[in-house]
Amino acid sequence: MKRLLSYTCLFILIYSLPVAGFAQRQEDVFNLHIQVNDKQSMEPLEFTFLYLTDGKQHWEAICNENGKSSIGKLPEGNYKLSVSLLGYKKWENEIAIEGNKSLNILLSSNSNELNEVVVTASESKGLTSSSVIDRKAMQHLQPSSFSDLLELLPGGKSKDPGLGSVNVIKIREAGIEDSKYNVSSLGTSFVIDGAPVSTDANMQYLSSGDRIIAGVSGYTDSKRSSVNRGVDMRTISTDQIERVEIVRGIPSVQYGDLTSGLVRIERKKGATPWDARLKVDGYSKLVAVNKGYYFKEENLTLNFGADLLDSKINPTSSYEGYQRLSYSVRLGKNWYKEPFALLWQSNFDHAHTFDEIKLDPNIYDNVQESADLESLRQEKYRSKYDRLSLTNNFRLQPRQIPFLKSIDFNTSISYQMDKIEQTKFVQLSSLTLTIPSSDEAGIADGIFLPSKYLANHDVEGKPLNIFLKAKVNAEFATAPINHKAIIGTEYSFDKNYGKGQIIDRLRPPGGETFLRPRNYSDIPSKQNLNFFAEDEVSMPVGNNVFKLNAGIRAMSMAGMDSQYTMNGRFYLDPRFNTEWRFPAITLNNKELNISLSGGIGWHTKFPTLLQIYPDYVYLDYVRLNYYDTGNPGQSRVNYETFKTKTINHNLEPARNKKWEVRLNFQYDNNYLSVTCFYEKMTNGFRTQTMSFMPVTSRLYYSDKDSVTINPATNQPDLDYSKYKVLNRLLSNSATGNGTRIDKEGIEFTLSAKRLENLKTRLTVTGAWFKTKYLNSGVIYDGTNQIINGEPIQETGVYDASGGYYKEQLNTNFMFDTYIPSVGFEFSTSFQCQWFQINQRLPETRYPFAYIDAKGIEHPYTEADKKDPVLQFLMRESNPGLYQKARIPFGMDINLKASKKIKEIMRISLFVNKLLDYYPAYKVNGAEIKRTQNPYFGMELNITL
Amino acid sequence: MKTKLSTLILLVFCTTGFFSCNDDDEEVKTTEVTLSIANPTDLEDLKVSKWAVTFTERNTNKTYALETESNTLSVTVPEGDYEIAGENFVTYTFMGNTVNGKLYFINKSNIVTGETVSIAASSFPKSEYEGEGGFVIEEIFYTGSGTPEGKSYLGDIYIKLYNNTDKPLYADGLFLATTQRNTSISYTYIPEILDKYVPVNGIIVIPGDGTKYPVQPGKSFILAASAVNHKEGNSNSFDLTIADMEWRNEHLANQPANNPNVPDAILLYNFFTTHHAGLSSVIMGRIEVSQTEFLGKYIYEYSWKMVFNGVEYERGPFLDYKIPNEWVMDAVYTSVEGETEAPVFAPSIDMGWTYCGSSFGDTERFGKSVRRKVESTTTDGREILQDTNNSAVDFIPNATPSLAK
Repeated sequence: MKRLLSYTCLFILIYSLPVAGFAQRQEDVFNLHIQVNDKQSMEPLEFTFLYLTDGKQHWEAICNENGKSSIGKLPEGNYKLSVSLLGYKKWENEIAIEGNKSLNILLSSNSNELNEVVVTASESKGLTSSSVIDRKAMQHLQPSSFSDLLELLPGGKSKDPGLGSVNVIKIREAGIEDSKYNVSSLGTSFVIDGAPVSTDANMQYLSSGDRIIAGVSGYTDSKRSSVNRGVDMRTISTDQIERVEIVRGIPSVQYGDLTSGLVRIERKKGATPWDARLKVDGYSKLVAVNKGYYFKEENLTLNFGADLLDSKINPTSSYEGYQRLSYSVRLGKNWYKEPFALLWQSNFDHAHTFDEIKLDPNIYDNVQESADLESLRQEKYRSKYDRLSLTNNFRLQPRQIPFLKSIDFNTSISYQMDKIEQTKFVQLSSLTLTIPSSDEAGIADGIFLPSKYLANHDVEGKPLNIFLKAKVNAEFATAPINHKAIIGTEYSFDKNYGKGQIIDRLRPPGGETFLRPRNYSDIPSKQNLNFFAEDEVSMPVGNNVFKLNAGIRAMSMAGMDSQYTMNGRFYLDPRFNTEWRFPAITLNNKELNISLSGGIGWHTKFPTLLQIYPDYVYLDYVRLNYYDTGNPGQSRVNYETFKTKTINHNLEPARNKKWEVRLNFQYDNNYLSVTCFYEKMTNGFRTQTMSFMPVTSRLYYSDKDSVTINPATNQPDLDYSKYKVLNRLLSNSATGNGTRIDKEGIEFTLSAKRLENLKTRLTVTGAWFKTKYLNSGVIYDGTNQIINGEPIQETGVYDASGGYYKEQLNTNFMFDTYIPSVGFEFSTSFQCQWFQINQRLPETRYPFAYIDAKGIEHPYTEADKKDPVLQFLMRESNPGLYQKARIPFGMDINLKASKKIKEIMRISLFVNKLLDYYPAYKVNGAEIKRTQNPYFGMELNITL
Repeated sequence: MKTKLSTLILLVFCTTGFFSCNDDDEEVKTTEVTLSIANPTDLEDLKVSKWAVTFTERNTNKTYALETESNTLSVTVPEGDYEIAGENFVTYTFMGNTVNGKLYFINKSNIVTGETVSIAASSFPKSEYEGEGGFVIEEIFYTGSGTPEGKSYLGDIYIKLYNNTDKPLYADGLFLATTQRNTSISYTYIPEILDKYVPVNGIIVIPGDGTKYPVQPGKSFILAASAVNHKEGNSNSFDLTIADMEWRNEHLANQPANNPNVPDAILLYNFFTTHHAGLSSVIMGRIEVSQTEFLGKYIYEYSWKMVFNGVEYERGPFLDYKIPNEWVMDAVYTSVEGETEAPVFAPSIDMGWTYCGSSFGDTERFGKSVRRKVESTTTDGREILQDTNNSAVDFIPNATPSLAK
């Protein structure tokens, strides 16, 4: 009986529900519209899962690619809404529905999701090969500057900091220390929050040549000068960076003026807690602070940060140092006024770095009493880099136009105030040397230098860069194909307003080299006007998906003199990237996804300002050098100066052709990608001899019998003194396109799934690089021999043989363990260099032609090999020079550990080369031993 | 009458007595001399033939010529003061080749008296081709004076040549050359020519037709890099305006001051640059063919090999010039303690080395020169300098330069 009652109640209850529903249907119902965006990047979040419940019913929805979703037919009442998405913190709140409602929800990323924690670089899922390094990986690595991040690229290896010289980037190559191949690092573009960092107006180098300032071993300036080498990565700190993408493959056509690759840096945006970092290691100390605010009502984000690095180049000496101070203030504001959304981001940055060499005070303890200690002690070298930049980016989203996704407008202006200051104590190594004293071509007297003096040489550079870019992003479908198209234009302006080389011309630091300074502000500007258009189509082909990104970029130099080949020409870079995604194969209840990508593209880089507009070349010949210690008033030195401008009007931009093929596998959070690439550039920049000028000059005999002293002036009278006429061949060098670089190789990344029980993940990255550094065109080279008192004038013309071949194979095995419950992270990295091969490539011994003192070219014959003068045009060349040198296996074991203490503090420690295995190896029966020293440091982070 | 006859007989007897005194005098005192000759120890595979030894009595000029197969000689000679000289035609191995040479020794003065006397002599290689020459290198100042601030100062380099004979000679046509080889560097050269030639990398020649630059017996001829008063710029230096010739080339830029009152040497090949620590050496002589023929035919094309850390490096080919050993009149082999790895010329050119400073880079070497020892002085005050073709013995190392005041 009781049971029957229960059943009846249940029956009534069940059947009354629809009735209840019916009854409720009579009342009003409303719609709930939800927009979900990422809190930091403001990007809409597709696939966000919405769960709405009033306690009795629930509704579920998933957001579309615009982050939008809606739930309809909701009766008035109170609900609880949960919003979740993998990688983000779950958002839950009570909401009341009293009418149609719109909600904008911001989700913050949740780095506690175990599988999303990646402390290495991940291979991007895009169409071209690129490595993505996020905040978590950067924290784990504990870098001092941007250079340290390159360890994470395939083929990369940890290196001790080298803050005493410029750090330039190397992508997909074995690397070489030779200024003829600087185009490789010059051709990598660094873009920070949409604004490229331009180095084209950088002219900071000492034209008096490199000097050794007492107390320091080695030269001071050339290793600290990044002129024509690209961005100096020491100047970029990592504390403000949220994410870095290094495109090693073929970047989108919206990025240009590059040949090797692209580095895209995105800084932190949105609310972040107060974060302070203190890092100490054997070389340096670093302090950084940053904070971000999000003001909800005004839709405003404010981020700022500052960091300071102080390092000694040699841990045991405090006389060579490098300091960097940088700070950044970034403001972002969104306006939503249906149907438009306007996003504005404004960044202000200031970076200040300082290379300094001071004199070791003990170095002159043992000089003689009569020494000029006061002058000796004034020697110094300092190089200051000071860059201010202001970037304003606008994004307009007209929401009602279906295909128009956004219109972007990026502007950036940057200004540097750089200065090199060097003071050198010059002591001539013989009684006197002479220098000319005239700036002009022609004949004029010079001066005799004093036997010792202090020489100051300053270089002031003030590069200004203005960058404007406008771009339209469109998305539309022509069924079944989906299009994402971009079309845009770009303008950039570079000019240097500095004074240039500042020097007392009559006291040259090089002793004998006379410098005629040039005002940098006299050099014309460089302006680029570029257009680009790209479409990325994706379409299903059966169960496969095919994607193709095709783009073209047209670049030109505006405002050049009509004599230049580059004037008015558009250089076209077509670039294609494709991907074929195979249908998923189910194995063991999980999906195996395979995709095959490939691409081919051309990449053009224009030369820098110094390369396009070299200075005048002055060649000074001594006509008379008459120095009579008995009659000093009669001493006279007379010069003839030839002045020529060696501009290579035929200079072309460097162009690199790349192609690559990549295979990707993804299975149950395990990823494997293998890329095979080939790049070739045949017209890279280098300084080379370009032209010849035959001149005749008089040489006056300076012995007493040949010189006639003019009684009126009491000086040698050139009209009545004896001379002979000399024919000379002057050679001039300028920037040409004589560099060829061939890069090929294979890169791979394997990222295994984090094992639940061990909480450990294995990542393997590696690369095999084969790089050839070669020559292009003909090479001119003379010889320094003197025969019978006459320097040999003839110059040889040689073919393009020669160069270097380098090969290496590296793999890094990293095991990282992440235990969030105790706040502990630990990683062990085995960095193996399997082998390294270096080889100098054969050069032909004899020229195929030569240029005589009158500037006429002749073929170089068999008989010339025995000619007393022309025989000296023979170059060194023997099989022993061209042998392959091979360095075998070596391995470093690096350790990093990090522990959270209470919620706010984290202590980290790293030891590189804690253990190493570099077995000695035998070459020709002799054993070569190798040793490594550990490099370690500690870091403290406080997050409030 | 009887008295006159007695006196006459007495006179005859006395005269006979004189004669018998003479007979007594013919019983001359002799000494047994044992001569031991030491061979040089650093010649490889030395094969000697026989020694031809000459004893010359210095007062009577009587000579005794002897021969011996071994290095010891026993002879009985009258007492006296003897000059003993000896020669031996030998062969030895140098640079892998068999060289014909001569060993030579000379002991200028040996007092021979008493029953027995032992005399020791040291022999040294003498070039088979040694000509009469007459000039020797008296001094080389190659380290430079250095400045009070401790920096190197090489403007005041000078070389002094000396007429070591008793007749006037002319310096016209003499060459000075720096060796291409650096004694601290031990490479294998292909081809190796050191047994017959001296490879050089810089040659200057004193101009003149043969009568322009006379040098009297016992006098010097000074060549300076820059014949100016260096004290004007460097208090450590000296006044070189007294030089007879300078070798700076005025029309190449960056050359030190040239004294218009001092004639210039001809730069035949490259610059003449002495090594600041003496690791390459200087040779002097006459080029016995025309300059055109020399520049055309005496080129030395070579490669070198070395082994470093087990890796063999080969460099070259390079070009320089070579001077036949027979043209070399004098040479000074210079080096520094710890740096002598390989010869720069055949030992017959110069057997041992002299030096400034006690190690490579030693700043104590600044302001020091190497000076040839005075062997003897003639009665009219002319110095004869010692020349046994062994600079280790013939030179005073770390000497105060003769031009320093």
